Amino acid sequence: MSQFLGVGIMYNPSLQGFFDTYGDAIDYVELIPDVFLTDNGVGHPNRFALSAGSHEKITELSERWPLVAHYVGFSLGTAGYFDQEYLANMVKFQDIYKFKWNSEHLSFSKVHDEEVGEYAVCLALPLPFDGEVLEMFAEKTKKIQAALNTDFLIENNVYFVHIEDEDYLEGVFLKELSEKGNCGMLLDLHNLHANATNFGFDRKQFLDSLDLTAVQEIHIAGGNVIGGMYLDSHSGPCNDEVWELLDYVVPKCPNLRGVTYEFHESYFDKLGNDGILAQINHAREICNKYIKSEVCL
Amino acid sequence: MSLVAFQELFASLIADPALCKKIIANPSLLETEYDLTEREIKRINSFFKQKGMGVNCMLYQINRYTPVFDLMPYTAKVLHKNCKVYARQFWDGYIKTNFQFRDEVLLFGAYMQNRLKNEPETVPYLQDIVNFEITYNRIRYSLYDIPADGIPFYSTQLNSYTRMVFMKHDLRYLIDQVITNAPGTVFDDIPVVNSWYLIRFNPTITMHAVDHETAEAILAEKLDISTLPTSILDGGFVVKTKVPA
Repeated sequence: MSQFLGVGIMYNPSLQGFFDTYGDAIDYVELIPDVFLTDNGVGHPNRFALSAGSHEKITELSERWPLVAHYVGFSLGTAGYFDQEYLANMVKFQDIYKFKWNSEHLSFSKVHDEEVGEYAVCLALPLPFDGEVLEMFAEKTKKIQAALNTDFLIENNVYFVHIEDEDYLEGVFLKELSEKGNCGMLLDLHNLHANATNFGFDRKQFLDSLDLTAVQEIHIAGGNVIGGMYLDSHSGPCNDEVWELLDYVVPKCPNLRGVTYEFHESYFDKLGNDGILAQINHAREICNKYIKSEVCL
Repeated sequence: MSLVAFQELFASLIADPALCKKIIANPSLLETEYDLTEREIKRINSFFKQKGMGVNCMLYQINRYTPVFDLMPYTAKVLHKNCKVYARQFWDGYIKTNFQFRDEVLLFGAYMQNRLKNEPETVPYLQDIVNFEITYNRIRYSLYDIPADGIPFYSTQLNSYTRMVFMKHDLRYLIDQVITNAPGTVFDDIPVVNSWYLIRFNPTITMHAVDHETAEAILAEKLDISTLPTSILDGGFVVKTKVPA
């Protein structure tokens, strides 16, 4: 069983001042490898090109904190296609940067057609919680887990439309996926909060329907209401419901390795360095109530 | 495979509100034009009754604006309200995007260049702003080839973080005005200079006007660096190797 790494933060460029001032307050840094890359397209001989200065930045971060990778571009939910080149790059990155674990989303963000090959949807769209999707997705996560020498987690997605007449409830689908797909779970409490707010279901009942032994990481964040719906905009501090859910679920996740705070860099001025520190400290207080030792891996 | 068709249609609807309207007006298109199961047709029809579909469309637009707003901020500021109109028209011709920021900004830049060639300029210095932003983005993405329109130029005598571009207006003054004034402000006092500029980007942007003789020497790769002012040499614009006569 892996041990608890602590409380971390999702990297964005606005954090430099926080790192300089309060860097000791965090236990790890999570980053989105896709933002450091340009994807030159399927079949391109140098498909994934690191942007100038990216290797140096990732290396600099890795010299100070353990790193965790959170991918956004694999589009595992895309039907009828598995991006072998994307996986090869993920494995290459794992060899270089030694991430503590890797994760992706339960969604699709790309589609394929005969006209242009691959193109982007420009947001992460939901998948129907059907048996067909479960089989397809589980096959993919098994392949990834077999290729990586570290744990691979799937994050519950946020969605703004309800897909009717599904085979499974979301919690049951995620539970089945962990089992059949040999993957862990990244439980995004703010996604859960957004979905429950928009579609009116019970947050704690949802949590109780999951296999919480599969949860290795938790995401926390804040959001806001636009267009009559609550959005997962990472727009500042966590709200009370998210803190309450964190307090509820941490003692029920025996294999939890980290709690990661996310905010979008455009909201840095709203938070400031002290505001970010307050979020980290609050998360740590909750974790410390239930997890007695923090051991860096 | 029906799920493939469902995902393609879902993605198309998010990207194209006109398609949503077309199908809402004629739901039988779901049966005749798409390879969907009965359950998938019901699901798509139920999307149209949910306010979340509008949120998805809005998020698509916000996400697609992001590369332009982040990487072409001066163009966006000068265009102001027209930026969304122009961007929407650009997307209509490039709906199946790879959504790589490099391609989004360079293709939008090329779209703007083409549009400005074919339309009377309502803002006389807009072309210079667009060309300036294409230039430093090509440096950002380490592109050294010279586009067909020659904007911007690169020669081996330039530092890899430098490109050369021709500007009608005083670039430094123009950028200062755009930075300090409100979005959409139109300036009528930007001096016309018709000058070449060296643009350097690493990690901040610096610029230096050069005379025609120097520009021609750079283009011919016959620049004698001993003739250059120290401001160009110390500014890191050129490779400090003297080319033999």
